[in-house]
Amino acid sequence: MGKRAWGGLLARLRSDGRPAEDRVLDDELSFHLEMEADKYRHQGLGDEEARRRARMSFGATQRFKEECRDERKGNHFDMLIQDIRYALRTLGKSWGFTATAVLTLALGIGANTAIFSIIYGVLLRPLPYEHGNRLVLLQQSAPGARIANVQASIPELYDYREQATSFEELVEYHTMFFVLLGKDEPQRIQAGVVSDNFFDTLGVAPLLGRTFVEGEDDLDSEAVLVLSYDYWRNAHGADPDVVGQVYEVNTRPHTVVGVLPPIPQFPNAVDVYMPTSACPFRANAERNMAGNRNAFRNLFVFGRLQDGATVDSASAEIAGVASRFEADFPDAYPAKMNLTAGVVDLKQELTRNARPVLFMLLATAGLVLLIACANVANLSLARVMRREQEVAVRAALGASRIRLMRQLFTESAVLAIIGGAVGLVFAYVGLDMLVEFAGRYTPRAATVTIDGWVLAFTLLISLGTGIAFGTFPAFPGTRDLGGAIKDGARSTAAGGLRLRRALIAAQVALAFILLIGAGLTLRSLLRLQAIDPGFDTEHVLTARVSLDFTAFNGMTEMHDYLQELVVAIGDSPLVRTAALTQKPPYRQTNPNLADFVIEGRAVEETQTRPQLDLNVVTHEYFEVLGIPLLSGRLLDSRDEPNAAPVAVINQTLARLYWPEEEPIGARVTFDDGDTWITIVGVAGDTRLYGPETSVTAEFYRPFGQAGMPTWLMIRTVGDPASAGQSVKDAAYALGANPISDLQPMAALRADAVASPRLTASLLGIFAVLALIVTVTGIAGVMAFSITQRTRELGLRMALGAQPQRILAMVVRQGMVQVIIGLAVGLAGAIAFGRVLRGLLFEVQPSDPITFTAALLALAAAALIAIVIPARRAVAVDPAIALRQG
Amino acid sequence: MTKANVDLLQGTLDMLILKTLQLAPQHGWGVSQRIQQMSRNVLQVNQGSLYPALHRLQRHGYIGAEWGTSENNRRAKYYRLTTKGKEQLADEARNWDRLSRAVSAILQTV
Repeated sequence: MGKRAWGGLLARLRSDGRPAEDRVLDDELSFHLEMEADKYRHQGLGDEEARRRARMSFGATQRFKEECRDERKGNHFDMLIQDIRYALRTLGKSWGFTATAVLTLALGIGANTAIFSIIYGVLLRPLPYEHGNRLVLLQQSAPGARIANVQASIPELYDYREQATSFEELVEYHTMFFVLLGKDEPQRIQAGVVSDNFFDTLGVAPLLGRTFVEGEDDLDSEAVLVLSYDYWRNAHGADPDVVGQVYEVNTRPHTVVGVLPPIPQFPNAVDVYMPTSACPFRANAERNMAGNRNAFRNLFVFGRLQDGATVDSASAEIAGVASRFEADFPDAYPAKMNLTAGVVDLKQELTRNARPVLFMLLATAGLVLLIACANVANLSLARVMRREQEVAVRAALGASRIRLMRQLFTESAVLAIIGGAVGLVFAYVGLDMLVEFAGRYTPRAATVTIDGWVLAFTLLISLGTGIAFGTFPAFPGTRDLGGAIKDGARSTAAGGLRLRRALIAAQVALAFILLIGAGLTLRSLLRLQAIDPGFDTEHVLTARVSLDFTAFNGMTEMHDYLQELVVAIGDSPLVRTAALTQKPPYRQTNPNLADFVIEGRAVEETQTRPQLDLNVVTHEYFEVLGIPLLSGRLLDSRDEPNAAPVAVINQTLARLYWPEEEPIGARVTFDDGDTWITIVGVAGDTRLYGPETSVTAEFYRPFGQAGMPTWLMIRTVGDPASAGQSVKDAAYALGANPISDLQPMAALRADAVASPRLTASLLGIFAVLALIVTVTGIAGVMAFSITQRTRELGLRMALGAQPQRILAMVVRQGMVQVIIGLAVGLAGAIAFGRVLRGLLFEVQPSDPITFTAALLALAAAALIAIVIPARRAVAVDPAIALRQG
Repeated sequence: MTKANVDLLQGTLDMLILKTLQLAPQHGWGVSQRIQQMSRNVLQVNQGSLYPALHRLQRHGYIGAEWGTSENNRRAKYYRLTTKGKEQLADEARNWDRLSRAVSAILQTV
């Protein structure tokens, strides 16, 4: 629209209002009337009579004014403007209706907009890599050994590269942590180690500097770094001059050559990227590979498909290559491993975990929108029924049927657009919460925004819902206009009321489904929170020690360093006791499963051996976490590296393998009898991997006799968060090994139930709103139907009906639609429960307690909404009621 | 409400209006009076049809309009025939002639 057109539009919308052409037409018509009156005056009639005759001959001015307007050029636009102005005026007059409708629509539209922006950003939008839709992830598995995911080794990658023709490129990725020196503090950095053409394969251009170039994979090339966007922002303050800086990593200088734009990182978000030659572990493996098929079995392999290749064709080819491995290298692969491989679409893989959650969100938003629609339809219907007389009068005055329909239509559209605009604000406000929520399931969530597509979606659903549900109730309103004018709003009320009752039933059904959803997730959350983790989460600080492996000379040095570190931190102010463990609780690491053999028990070759979850701790661990001793003894300072090998087990492990006898003194081995480890005690069970997981069979080895524990568990004197600095000070006084990921155990525990808590609150909010909207709707329809029936009820009472019986009758009639709604909702709720199944913890989707509670809550609320207006009806004096009718 | 004694065929009113304006520019009321006069009171034009028709003809560009002063010194909107309108009138008159002849021919055949 041009500037002039806008000016015209504004002029037309100004308060004086009517378009200039209308005033011209008025002038023209009044001239005609005058002339006609003159004519009658000339015929000798009196002034009054002449005017009257002129007016009579003239007929319904309003109608042909409309027709003139219709004939005029370009006036569809004028009519639109006029309709909009009229709509705004009428909506403004009944602001109660407008506010309710706008809020209801805004709620539905806002929820859907926010969730659509997530779904669009995560599932629909192409990956922000130039070649996003041609990228695949190679996956190996060994069904024979029941291993779902076998990382690729270097020789395997080289074989795939050499033999498969479906790919333009096949590139590798693995992640390692290193220590970066040269900033204020030593920093633990998570590095993505990638092929030099990795970023070219994905199609990612750098934000600053360059990415890697060909030849940087060569083992003798200089070490370079590309920083991720977040790391550059957080650790380097978005320094524009970072390119060219040199830091020390792995006792070598590393030059920063570039910074990446903000992109979703898969499989992990890392701080920096480096070429394969810069990772000492990967480089050593390559140097000493010499026919070792398992060299550095630590790789993710990404591929870019050739033109013409599909995921299926590439998968088939890769499977063909992999199937020859076992035949060609029978010694390298365990028997009957059945190594197979294939590729999956990278975009799908990135969002796999998020799908059930997004599906749940979408279903919820859909239900909310449906309730909003039903509510707006109900409100509009009530309003149309009330306005029937006005509509009929306008029709009689010459407004054409189509014009009236268009008027109602415009009103709905205006309402919908306002609702959509408010909804957009809701969506904008709520989006952060949703992004955080979705971010727990997919790295793509971080880049979700409200963009053009989302706005288009919002406009579409606003107009769609507003118009569909605002207009269809208008149809009965335009029927039988003559009847409407004669006896007020009663003639079409019966049909309208029937429709309103159906809408109420629909709302009850939808609200019931949401209540069930909220109830199920709430019960699930309560169950989760009630879980006893088996350890004390208060006053415990957790932190990670990152040993700069290249700075130590052998395992003994590292062991001594860690030993000193525990003592130093334990002695620092604000700290009571410090301990080390391999597996910090609630950090979502995987169990460290190991096969074992119990002394004196036969080992059957055919059977899989018993497994336990291996942990290595310092003896203070039990004290710090308050894990009780059940029998025998805990680990202590006697369990030195050279002392007899011992272990403490947890109750679950004891019950599993020593159900009848005492496990203390029993011996187990992991290496077919080379070393026998004596069990010296049984400790209480703990849930290490989150409240929703089952207790694993724990086997605690003392630090020094087994691997290297690098997580600090610190019991603090006061608030654990405030002890962080003194812990760091104590550590850095000993050496430059970064202390990172400081978090109080209580925060980790809260975080572990954050997703279910968000799910429950989200569904809870929606369910409560749905309940309010529905109950208001029920009360509104009841009040309306009782007003309609005032005379009938008055008559019944005048004829001697007991008020109590009338009340019972009215309530019974009102509850019918509620019960129908509940019955329909029951079926829907069972389906919705299935959507939620994956998100529920120890609660069945058809949990009878939740269903009963939701049923009672909704029925009780509905009953109150029905009884209040009904009591008012019965309280009216029959004489007054009769006269009123 | 005044009723035309003879219902006007669809489109006939437009032609009659153009014919009335052939002589001189005229306002709406004048047009209605002229038609009534010229038809010797057989045709009475309903204002409800007249004004929409005038606006329609104006939109098609057959007539133009400007404000002038009427015979009794009132401001009135005068319509005048445009060149396009003259051609249209000639066309319609020809068609009408053919149509009426054809209809008469049918009616006279027994």
